[in-house]
Amino acid sequence: MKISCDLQKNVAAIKKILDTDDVKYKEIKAGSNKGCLIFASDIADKEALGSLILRPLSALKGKTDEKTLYKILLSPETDFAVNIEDAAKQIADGHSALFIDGIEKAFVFGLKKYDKRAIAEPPTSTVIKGPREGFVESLAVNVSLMRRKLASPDLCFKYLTVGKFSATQVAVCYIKTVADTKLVETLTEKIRSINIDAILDSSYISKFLGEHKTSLFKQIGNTEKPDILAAKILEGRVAIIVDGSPIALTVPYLLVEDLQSPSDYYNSSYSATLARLIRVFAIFLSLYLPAFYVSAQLFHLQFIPLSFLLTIVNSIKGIPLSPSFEMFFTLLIFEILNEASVRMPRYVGMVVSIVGGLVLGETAVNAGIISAPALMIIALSGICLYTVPELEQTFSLIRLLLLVIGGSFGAFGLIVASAILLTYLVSFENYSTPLLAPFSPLVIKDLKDGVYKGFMIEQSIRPLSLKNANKRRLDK
Amino acid sequence: MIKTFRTRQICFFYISLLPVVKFFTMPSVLAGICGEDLWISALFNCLADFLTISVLYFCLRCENADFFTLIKEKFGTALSKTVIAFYTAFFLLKTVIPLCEEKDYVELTLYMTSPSVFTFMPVFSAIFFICLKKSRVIGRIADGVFFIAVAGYAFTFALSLSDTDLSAILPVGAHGLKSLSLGAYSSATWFNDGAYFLFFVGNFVKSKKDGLKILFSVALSSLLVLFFLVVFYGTFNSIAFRQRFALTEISKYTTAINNMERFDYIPVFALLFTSVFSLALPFYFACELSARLFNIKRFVAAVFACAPTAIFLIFFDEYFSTAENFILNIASGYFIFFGTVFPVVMAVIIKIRADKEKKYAVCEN
Repeated sequence: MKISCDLQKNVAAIKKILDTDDVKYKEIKAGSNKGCLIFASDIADKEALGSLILRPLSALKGKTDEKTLYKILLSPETDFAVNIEDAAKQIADGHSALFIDGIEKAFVFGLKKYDKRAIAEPPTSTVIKGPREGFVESLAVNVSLMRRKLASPDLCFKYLTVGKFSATQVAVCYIKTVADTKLVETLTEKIRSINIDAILDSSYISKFLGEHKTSLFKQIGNTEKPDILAAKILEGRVAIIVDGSPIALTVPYLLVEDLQSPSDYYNSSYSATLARLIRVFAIFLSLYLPAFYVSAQLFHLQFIPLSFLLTIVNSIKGIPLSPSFEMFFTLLIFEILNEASVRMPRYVGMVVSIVGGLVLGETAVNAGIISAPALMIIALSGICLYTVPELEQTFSLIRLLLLVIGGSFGAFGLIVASAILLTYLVSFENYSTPLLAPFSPLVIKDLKDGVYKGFMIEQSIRPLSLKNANKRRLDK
Repeated sequence: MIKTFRTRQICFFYISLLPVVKFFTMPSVLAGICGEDLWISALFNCLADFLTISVLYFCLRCENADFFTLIKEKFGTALSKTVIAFYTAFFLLKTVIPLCEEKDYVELTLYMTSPSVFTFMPVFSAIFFICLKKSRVIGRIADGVFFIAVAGYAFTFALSLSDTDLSAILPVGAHGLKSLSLGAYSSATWFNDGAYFLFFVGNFVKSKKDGLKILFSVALSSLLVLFFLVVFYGTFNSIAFRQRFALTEISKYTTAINNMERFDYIPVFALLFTSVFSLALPFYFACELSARLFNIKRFVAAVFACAPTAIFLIFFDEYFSTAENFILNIASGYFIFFGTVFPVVMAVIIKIRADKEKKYAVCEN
């Protein structure tokens, strides 16, 4: 419905749409014209409305028009709505709308004010060296953090609104001289086409952006830190920042990203390479150790060194469970403890970890329900998995699967499963970017930031695994 | 035309994926026929493969389609369909011996007591899964497996070299040409890898000195096999033919006399992992060709390629020795013809025709 010259008609139409008590209607006078300022009282910046809108309006004399009002109103963000529905949407989103009798438009002021969480170090990616600030739930704050990191005119934000009820603001962020414009267009189009009730977190968006809807593997990168996001978009990726979520998404995603830690880039190359090697080793250990231990016990005793075999034989004496069931049972208890400690309040969580880790484990071994090596292997596997926390969920499922395969088919079953996994991973692509790059397909120049962390001076070009408009990033 | 492969991937394919299937029973079979001259018999086959790939590369490098598409373009659909049918059979036959020997290897060396349906049959799930993928996945698998395979070879050789008496292969050529030829003929099923190049030629991104790189990798792949044979015979000497599974036997003296603490199984596992992909290759290409031959979907073609061998392994396992005899003694001629003779002849014919067409085009202009 179009906004008419009749103020009362317009206000009545708005009231019909916004039938809620938190929307306030302030009747005002703009010279000789009557007017009404409409705003959501808990989200509008009332102080700013008073000083930037109401005070200049009260100073007006005589009949007024649209041009004069635009000149005297001091709000830095002033827009117009020509439809009642648009105006109502903007008010619901926290903007304030001014209707003036005789003017067929509503002035919309972007004067919002609500409580925000302070910028803090994100708990999921803490660093010893390097920036500690993390994203918060406010899109405006997150955008400001990015602008502070990359004060370049090439840094672009495209704003979109998604969610029928939530009308969540989503910003597509990229560097226009670096990012692949086709990718930006594809992503923008995909986000625009999401027709869902509400976007409550960025993870909702990531579910729509992944090209393989049922895949176990992550397809969209994410980070809570502006420095990481800046580094990623400098490599040619496109970021998606969602209002209400402290986690920014990045596309395209490579598996190797999660083997890299922010601290790798602030420490020396040697220690970063060592740390990455340890992470890779830990991942393999966590995935294969429980499965291999079970398969060795059931099918391939000849693989186990004699002294270790004797230790195992002594420790499993009297254990009522079969090796695979014992390991499965221990893993199940570990997963339950893990789930409980994440869900419980922090002070109770401490108790759970002590009771679970020490008391339950110790007594289960003493009672002869599970063996000490099995407990140790699961504990080690669990710890190893957290060296790459981003992939913990995926890998814990694969570990369970491998355990079942190892217990049922033995070592050759594990080999076959690994072959299937490798085939799946090498064939997996998202936005035409192979998940396993730069290892498969092998991109030799990108290996400088793979498991090996090259010196910064060596990394003069952006990753070739990603499509980017501008390859060079360091002029020697 | 979008090229599917990179030169590097073809090189990795030859170095990492192809030698491993020759490490199971082929060494003992050859040792039984030619004794210390086993490597010479293998050398004949290696030279034949090298020659095939060289001819294919030099004759068809300027073309923009693989061998089978070229046959269709130059000689029509009827001949192309016939050729594809023969090559489908070629690749299906090529799956039998490596698969059966690996099945025996897994059952006898790794498990001993478990039934084969549980121990070895899961390999078909991997093979079937690979068959469903697009061709570029083969190149990526070669990329992904390369370092694992190289580490496997390096460890295997490192563990076995200390107990190798290289003088065991002397005197060279003592067994005579007849047994050498018989050895080469009988081992044809493991070689004739030039046939894989039929899919690569004209289908890889051209790069600087790509021919040199590819031929070098083929030579390196052959050297790995020859070196393995020499080390194997140097380790076991006259009882080499009794060591059925060379891959496990070759390094066993390094670790212990008893059967425990076989840490040499670590490289064996790396090579077994590689071998799953090696086993899948003939299936993959049979699937690719049957899809072209019958114009069927990939899934159906994969079933067509995998099901007969899987059924044979499950239900007719006791006839394996008959199948082995048939393939080693009778079907070897088929392998030699379609693995070496036919590709070389056809490549030369295609090259001559292409040159003539070019000449006419120049004259007309």
